[in-house]
Amino acid sequence: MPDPDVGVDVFLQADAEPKSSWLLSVMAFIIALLALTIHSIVFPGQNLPVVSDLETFSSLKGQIWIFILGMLVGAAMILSTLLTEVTRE
Amino acid sequence: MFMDIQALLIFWVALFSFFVISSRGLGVLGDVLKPIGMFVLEKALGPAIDFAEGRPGSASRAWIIIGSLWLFISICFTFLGIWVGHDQYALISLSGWGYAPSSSTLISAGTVAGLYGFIGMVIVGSMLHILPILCATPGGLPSERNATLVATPWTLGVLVLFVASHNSEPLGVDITLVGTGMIALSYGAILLNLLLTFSNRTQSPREPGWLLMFALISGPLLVVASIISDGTSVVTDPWLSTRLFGTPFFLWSIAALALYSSAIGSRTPLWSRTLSGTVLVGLIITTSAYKSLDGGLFSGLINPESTISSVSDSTRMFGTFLMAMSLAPMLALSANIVGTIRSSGKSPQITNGMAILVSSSIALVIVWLLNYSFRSPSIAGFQTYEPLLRTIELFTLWIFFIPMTMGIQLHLYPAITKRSLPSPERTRTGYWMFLTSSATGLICILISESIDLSLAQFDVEMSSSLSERFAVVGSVIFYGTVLAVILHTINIVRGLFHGSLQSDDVISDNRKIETYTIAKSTTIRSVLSAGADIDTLLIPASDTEVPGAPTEI
Repeated sequence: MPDPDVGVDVFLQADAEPKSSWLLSVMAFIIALLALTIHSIVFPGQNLPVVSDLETFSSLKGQIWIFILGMLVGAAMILSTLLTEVTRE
Repeated sequence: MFMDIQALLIFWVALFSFFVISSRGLGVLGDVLKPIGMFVLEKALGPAIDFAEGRPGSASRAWIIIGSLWLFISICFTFLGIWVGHDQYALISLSGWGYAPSSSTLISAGTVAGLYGFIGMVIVGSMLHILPILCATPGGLPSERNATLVATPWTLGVLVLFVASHNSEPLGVDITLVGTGMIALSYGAILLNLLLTFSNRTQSPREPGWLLMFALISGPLLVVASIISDGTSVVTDPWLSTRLFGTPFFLWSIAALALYSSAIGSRTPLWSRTLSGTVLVGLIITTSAYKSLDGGLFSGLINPESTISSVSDSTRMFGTFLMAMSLAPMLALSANIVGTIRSSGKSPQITNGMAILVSSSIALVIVWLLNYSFRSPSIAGFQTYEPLLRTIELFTLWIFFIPMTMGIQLHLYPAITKRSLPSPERTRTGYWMFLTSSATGLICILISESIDLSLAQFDVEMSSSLSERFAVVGSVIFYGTVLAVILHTINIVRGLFHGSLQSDDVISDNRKIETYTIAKSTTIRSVLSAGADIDTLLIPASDTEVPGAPTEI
């Protein structure tokens, strides 16, 4: 009968890091954020424990200019990249 | 929604005639027409032709770079349109400057920029690069200078249409036709250039090449078919744009370019010859059904007030049959792209566009199902889901058409510009942001509109705070797409100057490889087409000495 402990030190110790392993970590993080968001939507009157002081997205209503500012910064970055690179000696 | 059966039959016959004539040649007539075509390309524009340089590859480079700038404009206006959809007074302070757009106006403007600016220009730029390669045309494009120069009227045409989507009569004259005419002028020049490339070919262009040629020629053929069948007036109806730049140009071209990019980018032969044929034949047969798949983008876009004429019951039945059949080429295209990239035995690379091609291919099937589900009641005469169709159009554009085009652009970028993208990390970040934010944001908006629709069907005169919250969340998440496009555009622009120079053997479509890993039984053809030669080292995938690795039986 084979010894069940044979290979424990070989197989149970990860000795390499697959390139895509971080993907699961990122997905877990995103799902956690979504869960928080959906909680605030489905249960609008109830605060989350611990993170109840955080603002939800809904507080951003009427704040489109924050986003437009981001777009303008993006446009400026693209335009400045074009201008500086084209005129660079 | 559907073309008349008579027009469709004329179109198919014309397309088949083009195939026969282009296969057999025009003989003496062709020898006469070629010099005339070259004369038109080089001399018709007069001294303006001297403004453009004729370096090989300059035309396709100009087209794809300008297209990227349109993508940024497109996403900005689409985001603003989505936001104003739930907060109609968000831009009220701009009314002091005389600018008070509605949500649908902003989304239409964004769609014009995305379709004709980004997708259209990248398609043309890619065609200018790929067709001479597929046809092995000596000397490449017949007129590189003309192809470069006509990017200008196309861009101006998109600009005019962009203005027209806000106000079609800013000076008391309808400028829609002006914009369409400018784009049509460029289209004609590009068509002539590529037909000459095609006629000078030294080999068959393979399946993607034929599909590209059909996509190019289908616009004019559809115009002719429409004139013959129903004699539509050019001036009174924006039919020219819906015919000329309709489904064949956009969908067929993207299908062909995606097949090409997936095979060359993964350095693997196309997964299935049968599926390639299914894509080609299926797209041609079911062409009129994609007024559904494209979300009516091409019919209601240029003139939002225009309505599609009512159709007879027999045409409706015929169209419904074609719609159901259209799933076949969609599945074939999706499976062939995914299968090809998977066959390479490696994870799809984000930086050369392979990953985004895979995700867009999967999204294609989802988009088809969404369109089919939500538009079927409209075909039967019910208006049940009409309020949701605008979001379905956004789905079609932002999770299939545009990301697929971005994947094609990323793959062809090094070959066209002779430089690599300067920041692989920026590409990777942009890819994940685009994928997650566009899909999640639009799903939230769809949920919000579904809640509103449910309340409306029950005649409840109240607004749901839940729906409003989903709309806000969807808009905020969709903003990630704006950031992703900024990263993408900056990467594309900076690559022109800071991307490392690529040597010809690196960017060649027949690049050589030093090692080739064999994971399973494969043909010598597959190995050779991946770039191997007699000096390439073949490595069995099971030939590993890593401790703990599974033993191959």
